Amino acid sequence: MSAAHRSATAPSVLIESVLDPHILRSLDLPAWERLLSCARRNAVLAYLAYRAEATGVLDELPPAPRTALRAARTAAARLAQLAMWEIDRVARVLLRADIASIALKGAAYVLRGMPHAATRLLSDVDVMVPRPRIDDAERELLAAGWQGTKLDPYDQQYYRRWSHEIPPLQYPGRVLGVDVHHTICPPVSRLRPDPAAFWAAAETTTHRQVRLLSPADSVLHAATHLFFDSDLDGRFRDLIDLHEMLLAFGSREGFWQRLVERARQQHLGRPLYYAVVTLADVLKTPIPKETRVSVEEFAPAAPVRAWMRPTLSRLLTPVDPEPWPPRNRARVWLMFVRSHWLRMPPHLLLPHLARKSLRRVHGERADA
Amino acid sequence: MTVGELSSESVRTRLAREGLALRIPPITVRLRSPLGFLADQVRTLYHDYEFADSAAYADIDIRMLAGAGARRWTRRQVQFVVDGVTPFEPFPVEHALPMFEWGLNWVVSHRLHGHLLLHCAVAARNGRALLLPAWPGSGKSTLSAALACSGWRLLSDEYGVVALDDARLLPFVRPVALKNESIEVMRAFAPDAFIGPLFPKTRKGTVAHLRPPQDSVRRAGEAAVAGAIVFPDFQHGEPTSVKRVPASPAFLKLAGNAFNYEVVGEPAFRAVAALVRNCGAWVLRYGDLASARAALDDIMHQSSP
Repeated sequence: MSAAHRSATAPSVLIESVLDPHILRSLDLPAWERLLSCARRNAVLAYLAYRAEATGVLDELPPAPRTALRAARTAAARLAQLAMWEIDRVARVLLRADIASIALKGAAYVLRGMPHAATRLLSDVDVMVPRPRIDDAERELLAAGWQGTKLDPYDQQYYRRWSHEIPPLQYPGRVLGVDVHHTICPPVSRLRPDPAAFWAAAETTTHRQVRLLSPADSVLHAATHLFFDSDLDGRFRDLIDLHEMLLAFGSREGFWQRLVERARQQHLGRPLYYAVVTLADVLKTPIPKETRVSVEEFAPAAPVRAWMRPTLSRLLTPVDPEPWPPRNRARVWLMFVRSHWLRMPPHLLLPHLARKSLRRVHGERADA
Repeated sequence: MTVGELSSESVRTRLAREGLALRIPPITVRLRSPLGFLADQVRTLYHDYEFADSAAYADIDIRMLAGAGARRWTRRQVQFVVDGVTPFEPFPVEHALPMFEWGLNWVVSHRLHGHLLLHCAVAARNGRALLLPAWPGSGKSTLSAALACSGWRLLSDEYGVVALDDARLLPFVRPVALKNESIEVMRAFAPDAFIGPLFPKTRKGTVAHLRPPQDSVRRAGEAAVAGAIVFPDFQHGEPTSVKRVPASPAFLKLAGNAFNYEVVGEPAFRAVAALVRNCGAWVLRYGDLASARAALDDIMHQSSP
């Protein structure tokens, strides 16, 4: 192992190795242990395995880490297969009822055949249906055997009134749940893209007429979801999705101009700005100079920018699993507050947070 | 060097600092914890296990840490931390050892996809493995503990680790978790066996761990060819009986209760097919350990090539 890597932290080795897997050849076993642990913590172990495989490095690695990488790849590939099946089952029901659908996020990457799709740790598939048909879609899926999540009346109400999706559906005995959306951001949030424009630009697939957002809209959706609708806690994985999309779409004729134009039209410039600067800071994603200059028009006011940019870079850098209790708790908490602030106006937000804070969150039991 | 050859003080210090890298073939597990009593319990139960030096590679890194938050003042708790996350709710601190054992099982079943993981106890005799696949509560732990104390080599009380290339059984020897009545049953059956402290009032009732026989631990690197598949069915007070199970239902029962059959996919299908093709399958209904053991001896004898 080179001297540079001996002192490097696991998160920085993780970033370097997904960008250039050849450096994996120079790691010693203690460095491997830290790297694999860090990759697991950030849900990118299977992605690291895919990168090592794609660059022909995997077979040259020491047996123990190679086994761990292959095992992670196997588990994630199974989830991608299940996602394909779940989306197929959902689309079959929707098609019968003549309800159009767009696959979003993980399921969309799978349908698009993106190589990193089979490295994601999916827990559900997301589909969007036209807003006027969302009740029909829910009814049809329930009639076909999916079950609604048991929620207390408050959470039911929260989903129905303030969210952009209905409560998650689950087919008994299957691993992945289904989230049905009618738009890409919460209807009460400060961002108001026009869903009709997403439908108009959507691409069709040969899989039961399931559609996909256009490449530009896919990026904007992922950026909006990450920067405006998540807690930004351990979301390096989501940054990888954006990185992979920009690598895949970036070579298409006119993609970058369309992306910026689309962000302007759909009032999603701010999330695009955050995505571009954070990707450049953390993953050195190749983004054309003109694009980096043009997204400046979407930047927030200077004081906000001065705080947000380094904070986002720090939060979206892989989490180091070693320190306990975990670092960055204060920043994560502020971002959690911010994500709710963005999602709901204050007169709705304060009672909501008060209620949430009174609740205990239940995790999995070790002896279950 | 084995864990038992270290002083109690030395095990405590290792756990509190760089961790103890336990060799539990086919994996190495690093355990770190500031809890001295946990170090002592680990030292007793993992007495005969080799450990690696602290710079060696560990496949799984587990920390058992004192709980945080307001509840730490009212009731001491322990957290299971793997790769910097806590997949479970904390346990009362005195249940640290059962939590480590259960948590390690959980991690293994989510990770070891290079092998087929059957939910089954495995013991071997004359190099041939007996598979005891069963759901919790059907007595496979007790049965495998009884075999381990009767001259059989213990491979596992929980995991049938099947190599995907040749369908041989890899040992994954661990302390055997005995629950409730089976603790006293084992004490009566094998008075010389070492059973660790009782952990009352866990979610599974009272739990205690049987230290695996030294010979089984020493030979944990030796795979065994599958010899017979027996589905145990404990029925209190029933006479012992055995019944042949045809290959196809045996296939479904074996595949249906594996941890990662679907994840591994086609190689798992081939491995299960090889198992049911190469060895016979039976259901063993039993009400007491001595006659069950005799019936298993018979089955192994009958099925020997």
